[in-house]
Amino acid sequence: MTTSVTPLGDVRVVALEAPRPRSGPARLLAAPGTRLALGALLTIAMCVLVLPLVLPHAPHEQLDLATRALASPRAAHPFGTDAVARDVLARVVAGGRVSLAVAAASVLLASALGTAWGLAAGLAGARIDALLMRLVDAGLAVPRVLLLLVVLSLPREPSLVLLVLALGATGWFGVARLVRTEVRRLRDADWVLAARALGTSRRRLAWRQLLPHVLAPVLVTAALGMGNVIVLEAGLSWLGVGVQPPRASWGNIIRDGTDLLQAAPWISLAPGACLVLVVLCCTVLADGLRDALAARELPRP
Amino acid sequence: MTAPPTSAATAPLLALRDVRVRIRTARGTITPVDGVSLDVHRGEVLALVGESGCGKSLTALTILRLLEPPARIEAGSSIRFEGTELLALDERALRAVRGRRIAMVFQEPMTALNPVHTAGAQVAEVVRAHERVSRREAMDRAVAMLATVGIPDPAVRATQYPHELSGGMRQRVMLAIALVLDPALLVADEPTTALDVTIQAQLLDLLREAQRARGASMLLITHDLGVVAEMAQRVAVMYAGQVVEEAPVGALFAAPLHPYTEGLLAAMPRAGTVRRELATIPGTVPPPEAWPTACRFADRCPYAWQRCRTEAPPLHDAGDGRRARCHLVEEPARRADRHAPAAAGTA
Repeated sequence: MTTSVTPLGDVRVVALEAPRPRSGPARLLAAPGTRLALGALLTIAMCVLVLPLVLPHAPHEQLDLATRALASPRAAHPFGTDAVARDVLARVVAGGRVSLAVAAASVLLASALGTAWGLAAGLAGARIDALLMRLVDAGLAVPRVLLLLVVLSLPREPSLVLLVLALGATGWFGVARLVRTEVRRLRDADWVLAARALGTSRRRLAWRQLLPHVLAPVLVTAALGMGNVIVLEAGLSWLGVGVQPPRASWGNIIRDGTDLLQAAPWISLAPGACLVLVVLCCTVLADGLRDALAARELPRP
Repeated sequence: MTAPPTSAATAPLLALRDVRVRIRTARGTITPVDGVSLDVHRGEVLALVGESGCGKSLTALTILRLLEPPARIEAGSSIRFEGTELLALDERALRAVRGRRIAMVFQEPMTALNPVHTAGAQVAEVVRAHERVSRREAMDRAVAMLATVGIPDPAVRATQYPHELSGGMRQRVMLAIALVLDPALLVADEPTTALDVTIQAQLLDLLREAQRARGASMLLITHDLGVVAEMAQRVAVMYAGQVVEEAPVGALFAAPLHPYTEGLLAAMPRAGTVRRELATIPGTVPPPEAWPTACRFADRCPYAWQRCRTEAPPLHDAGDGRRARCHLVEEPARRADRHAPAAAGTA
């Protein structure tokens, strides 16, 4: 008997196709949680933009005090009414506009300030860098709420613009530190040396070569910061130094309801629920963004 | 005395004179580049050879003044390029030289390209950093350059990111970046070390062709004597921060003057010779803080005698464009006395 060799006749070659590199948005939307969060945020944004145009009541409109004050949720008032007979739904929607706009504007401001500061410090020499970062440390050392309380209680009635400026000006320290650390890390990369060897100016290096790299972590912190600032603004409004009545914001509607929490819990409940939902969505979105952006980068040697 | 034939006609394109780089460290000041003088003539390929840590890459970075603190170029150093003293230029004037007149090719194509930009954008970026051209025109030139360096389907490749390209392809992109503005001098720091051998050969051919076709000069930094033989006309050998020997390639390979060069050549495998164990140089390059004060190679040298440990040899002129930093040039009879070097026992 001889040993037989099995012929390899039936062996098929299976080409393992590498997964095609997908675009950033496609990667972001691949996670169901992120999809849900993004969908919810967009829905809320659409609601606060469109609903005021179609709702029967204006946010400041006082209905009949005798019959409509503190009405519990019903068909005419899905979220009920408050102590002075205003429709809570109309107020939550209007307040959402203010809360979201203030948060978005101040986060944008903080991100821009922090990125510029961090890039400058990261590219500067040791001494300037130390100076710039000690200033950031000082900013981080002072409790943000305390700083905001002082600034916002100076004028008799803080305007929305002042609120945005104050929130933005106290919110960029963390971003600056993050960007500066990232730039310091990237500075030693071969491609930075290569860019310098090719005659790229410092400004061009920061703008065209480094900025795309630091934008990813900045975007993630911005999404997280968004949730943070909404809560902060609500807290300030609750304390009476944020958005001033009669203009509604989620924070001051919640405050309006706290005295009546047992008699009319719906007043605080509706804006509170919106707040929690938005903050949650921002966090989930930030998480999804981080995953999607991390996948873009090559593994570092 | 006869001058080297290449320098007879014109002044060198690049002339380093007595270049010293100091680095202040926690354990004291070191001088990893210590009095290096080199000439690169027009149209010439000069190879700079040496072991890791001998200061050859640092010398390359010094030329474009890319060193960052705590590294400092000492006063008294001079780097003249196209008649201009590079060490006297301000940052702005220096940027005009970098990339346009002198271009660098780096060792690691994996890391020397920015991962967030496409290949085409990175070539175009150099054009846009130096010339007032539209985005469109810069990209057209980039694509044309990618074709020149032998990238198939350049219009498609231009839109791909570094991680979508192979190592050889990436190095071609690096080459396109270096060549796109037609520089007079290419500084190539181990341009093929990170690649596998077949790709290495292709890229060396490409590099040589590009250099010849454009009449550019090249400073080729390598530790590979095979690459030297194939590419360069002249060689400078560095050891412990100094140039120890300088010679035309043929002469150097035929009869090295410095014992270190001799050791390097003996350690190189050659085709056609009977297989035997490759020679090694005993000991290692000492770190900069431990360099001997007299001859820096004495401890590893098979010819070293008393004089080598007391008196630092100058870079002797040996005629025919050859120079060597060794007392043997003055006392050639000592070549007969070959013995085990001092470092052999301790290594």
